[in-house]
Amino acid sequence: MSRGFHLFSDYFARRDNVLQRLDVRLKMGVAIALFAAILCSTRPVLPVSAWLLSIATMIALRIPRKIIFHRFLPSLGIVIVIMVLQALLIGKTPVFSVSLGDWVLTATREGIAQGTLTGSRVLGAVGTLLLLSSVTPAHEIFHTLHWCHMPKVWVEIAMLVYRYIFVLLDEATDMAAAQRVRLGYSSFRNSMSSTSGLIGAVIVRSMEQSFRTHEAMIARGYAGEYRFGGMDRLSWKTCFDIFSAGVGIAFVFLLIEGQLW
Amino acid sequence: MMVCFSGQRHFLRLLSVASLLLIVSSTPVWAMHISEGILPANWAGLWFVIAAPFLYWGIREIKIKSRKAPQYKPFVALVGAAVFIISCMPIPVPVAGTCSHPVGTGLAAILVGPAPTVVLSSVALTLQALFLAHGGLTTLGADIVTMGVAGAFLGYGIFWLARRMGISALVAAFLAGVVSDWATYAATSFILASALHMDASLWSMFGTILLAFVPTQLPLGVLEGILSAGAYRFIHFRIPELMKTQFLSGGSS
Repeated sequence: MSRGFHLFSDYFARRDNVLQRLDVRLKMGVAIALFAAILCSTRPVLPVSAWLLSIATMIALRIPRKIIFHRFLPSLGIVIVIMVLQALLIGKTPVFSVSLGDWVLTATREGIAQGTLTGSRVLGAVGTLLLLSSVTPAHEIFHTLHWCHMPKVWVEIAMLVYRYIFVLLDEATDMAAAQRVRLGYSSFRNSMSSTSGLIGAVIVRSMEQSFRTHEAMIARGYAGEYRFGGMDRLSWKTCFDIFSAGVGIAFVFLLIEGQLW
Repeated sequence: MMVCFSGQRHFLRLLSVASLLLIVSSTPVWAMHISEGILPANWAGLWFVIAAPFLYWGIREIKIKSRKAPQYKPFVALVGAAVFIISCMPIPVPVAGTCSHPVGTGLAAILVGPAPTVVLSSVALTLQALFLAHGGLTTLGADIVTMGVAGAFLGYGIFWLARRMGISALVAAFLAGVVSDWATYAATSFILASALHMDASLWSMFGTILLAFVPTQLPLGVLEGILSAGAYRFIHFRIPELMKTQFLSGGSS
C-alpha cells in the first residue's frame, strides 16, 4: 500500500527548476496540445518522441530513474496487452504464427502496425502526463482548474480528498501493521476478516475526521464555500507562449503526418 | 456442420488469445483504469459527453445536501479519501495467484449514494491519473463511466432492490460489492473493445478482453462482496446512529 503512495507524493513538483517556475496555464496548455497531437497521430513517431523527451526531461530534473520506471510500469504492462491483442485479432496479412498445442496464433501485419501505434500513443500520453505532474504541485493544478471554471464544489472536494488521503493513509498503515503483528494476515480467512475490519475502520475514521474538519473549518471562517485566492491575470507574454507552443506542436504534427507538403 | 466447425475455431482463437493475454499481463491491478492514450480522440470525447450528465447530477445533489447540512461536503470528501485508500489495498486473488484491489465504488454508493459517488470517482480518478499514472486525463470520461456510473449505479441498484425484497443489509452489501466490481470490468471491456476492434468484430474483441479478465475478476468480485459486507457490518456496529442519519443512503433504505 505504501509503495504506491511513495510514487503519489508530489515531492518532485515542489523542487525549484525551470519548468516548475513556468505559469501553470502554460504547462497545462502545452500538455493539452500534446495530448491532442498524440491522440490524432497516425504514425508512432510523434508519440514515441514525446515519450523519450519526457523521460529525458525527468532525468534532467534529477527525478530518480527507479521512480520514473515505477511510474511507467503500469503503462508498459498495458502497452504489451494492447499490442498482443491487436496483433492477434486485427488484420488479414499473416506475418508469423505461434503454436500452443492445438492452438495456432497468427500475428498480422495490420495488427502489429495498429498495436504499435496504440502502444506508442499510451507511452507518449503517459510521459506527457507524468512530466506535467512532476513539475506542477497539486494545489496549483486545482487553482488552475478553478480558474478554468471547473465547478467550485468539485475543486473543493478534490482539495479535501487530496489533503486527507495522506492523513488517513497514515492511520490505515498503522492499523494494518497492528493487525499484522497480531497474526491478522496469517491465513486467507484471517486476511479477509482483517481487511474488512480495516476498510470499516478507515471509513469510520474518515467520518469522525470529517466532523472535526468541519468544526475546524468553521473556526477559520468557513461559510459553506472555500475562498480561492485569485490567480494572476494571464499576461500577454504567457498568452504568446501558449500560442507559440500550440503552433509549434501543430507544425511538428503536420510535418510528421506529411500534411505540409 | 461447417458453421459449427468455424464457430468452434473462432471460439478457440478467442480463448487462446485471452489465455495469452492473461499470461502476458500478470498485472490485473492496473487493468481497472483505461490508460492514458488508449482511446482515439473521438472515442475519448464521446465518453466525456456520456459521463457529463452524471457528474452534473452528482454535483447538484452535493450542493443541495450541503445547503441543508453544511458538514455534508467535508463528509463526502473524507469518505472519498477513505474509498481512495481502500481502492489501493492489495487483496490476494487465490485463483489467479496475483494481487488485485477492490473498486470501492459499490461501498461508496451504499454510504453516500450513487450520484455523489460519480463525483468522488471523478476526483479519485483525476488524482490517480495525475500522480500515479493510473488511468489518464484523456480517458477520464471513459473511466468515470466504468467506475462511477456502471459500478456505483448498478451496485447501489442491486443494494436497493435487495433491501426492498426484504433481504438483510449484509447480504445486500455483499451483492452490491460483487455487482459493482463485475459491472466495472464489463464496462471497461466494452469500452476498450469498442475503441480497439478496428476491422475485427466488436463482440469477438469484447469477448476476448472479458475472458482475459474472468480468472481474476470473478473471484475478486466475490472477495469485494465479502469485504463490502464486512465493512458495512463494522460501520453499522461502530456507529449505528450515523447510519440512520440523512447523510448515509444505506441507513435510510
